[in-house]
Amino acid sequence: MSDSTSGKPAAAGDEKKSHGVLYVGIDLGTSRTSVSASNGQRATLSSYVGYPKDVVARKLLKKDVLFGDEALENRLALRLYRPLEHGIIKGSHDRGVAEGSAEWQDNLKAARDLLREAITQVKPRADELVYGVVGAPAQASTKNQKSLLEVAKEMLDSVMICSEPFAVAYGVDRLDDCLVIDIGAGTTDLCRMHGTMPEEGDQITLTEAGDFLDGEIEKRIKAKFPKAQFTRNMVKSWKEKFSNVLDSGPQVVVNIPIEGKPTPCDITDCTRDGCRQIVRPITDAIGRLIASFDPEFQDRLKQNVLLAGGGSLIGGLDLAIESDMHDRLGSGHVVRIDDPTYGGANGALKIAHDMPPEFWQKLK
Amino acid sequence: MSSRIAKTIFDLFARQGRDAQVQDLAKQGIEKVTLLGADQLAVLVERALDRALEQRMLELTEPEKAQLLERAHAEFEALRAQLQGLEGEADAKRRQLEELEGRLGTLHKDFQSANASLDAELAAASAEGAEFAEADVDAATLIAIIQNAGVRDAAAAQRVALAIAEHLRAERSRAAEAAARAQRERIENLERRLAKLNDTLSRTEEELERALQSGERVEGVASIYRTVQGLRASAKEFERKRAMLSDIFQKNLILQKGAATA
Repeated sequence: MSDSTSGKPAAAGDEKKSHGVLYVGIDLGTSRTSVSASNGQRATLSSYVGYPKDVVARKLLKKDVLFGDEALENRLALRLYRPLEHGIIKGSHDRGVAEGSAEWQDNLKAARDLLREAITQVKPRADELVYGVVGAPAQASTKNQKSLLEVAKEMLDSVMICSEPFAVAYGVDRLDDCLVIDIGAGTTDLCRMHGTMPEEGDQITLTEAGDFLDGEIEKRIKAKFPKAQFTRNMVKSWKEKFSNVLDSGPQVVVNIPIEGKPTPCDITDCTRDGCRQIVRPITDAIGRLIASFDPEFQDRLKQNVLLAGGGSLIGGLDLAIESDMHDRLGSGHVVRIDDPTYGGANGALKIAHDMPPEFWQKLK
Repeated sequence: MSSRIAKTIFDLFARQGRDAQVQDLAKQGIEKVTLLGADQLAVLVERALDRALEQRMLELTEPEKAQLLERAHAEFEALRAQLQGLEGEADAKRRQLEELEGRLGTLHKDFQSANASLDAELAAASAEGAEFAEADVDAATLIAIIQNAGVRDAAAAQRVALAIAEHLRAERSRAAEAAARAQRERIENLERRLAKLNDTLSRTEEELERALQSGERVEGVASIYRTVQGLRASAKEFERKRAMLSDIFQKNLILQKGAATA
């Protein structure tokens, strides 16, 4: 028997079965949900789920549920949900939506539908077993993890949860003396890798992440153009298209309605200064993780900082963090991983693949 | 041999071939070269491969040939069985679709008939209400009836007439109330039936849509794995990775099945 990717003989004990096994790695994120699968397919979509508000809307949209950008585009006719908050399902933590409430139930249903859609997009065959690993924020509580499991179990034959930044590190084979920073929309997760499974003290979760930056940019644009009319979604799309934290970054001019008239507004400084607000909290967290590490290996850790997640696509962020590390920690080297959008999903897929068969069997 | 292999060979030559300047060749004393294009080379390699394959076929022993034939036959049978299975599945889907369409048609008819029935009931209820409203007690007629019955005292006849009129009004009012209540109940029942019918209609429409979608659904892309894989013993940092994976599993086991199972 041979592995179709490597051509090497499989490990002893592999038992031939009449069915196929599809592995999926899932990054169920606040802003984006990404899935990588062992059939070579991968998919990413905005974490929005919309249900038609009434019969008229349903007839018009010809769908019972819409996802991602399509849901966002038709949001006026939909009950729109963004079921995740700070990387977990809304209501599965102690603040915000109350667990068990109708809103919580709605978010749970939306999260289920979102995951089902994401998995559908990687085209699994109906006759194959689907084994998945789902990335969760580094410091997600047991309660949060259980909520994620509840959502994932319906779609997967066997499922495991693992720390998202650990999945990133595992995916790029950097298990030793490295520090992973996974910048999502809801949380920024930092994880110190030192050859063993990271423990609680090795991980820090910050709420300064993509959504936080949207708020910072929005504040600045409002202050600069008080009469401008715009939404948080517009700010998010400008950030995703143009954000750059470097002084040498390109000028950003966008058309914003002012008293009903689209007016060109220069928001270069708003996006730059807004996005820079994440640098200091990250460097602080890096400092905390380095200071509590074995002094002999601290420098090695500083020289191996990996940036992942959608937030890492902010132009010049790696250089800005590196520069701040030089100023405050003496040195540092930050590298953005090759495929930040799929970093977590690819790592989770690799974990799913490497997980011994008997482990999957026990969790069925 | 397929043109894909020829293209691969062509690409290989294009990538690995090296350039030589005419001046450099002249310096080496070479005045004339015979040119052989990459496409010609690809064709030559193709032919050589074809010959080698033919030769290999000739070298096969009878048992090997029989084994090869048997394997091909088994594969063919498996494919045929798979195709039959798929055809059966498609037939089942078509039947399901037809059944759903039939159900939807019936429901549409039920819905229309229930709608018409509700309209008729509402119209009847309005007509009955109007009749009650029109009926009123005529006091003068009552007095005349009482006096004709032998009561000569006009004041007494009027008192009796008023009492009877009051009693009749109260009775009518009770009757009207009871009729209205009965009508309201009937209307509520009809409304509930309509809502239920509406709900069933929506659900059937959804089912139909799903059936239609699944009819168009692509089969999906098969995983590259037929079996559960697991970390290879030859993997880089095998022990360390295995320990990490084991740790993830233990945590998930506790999370999913409780601490007692770990």
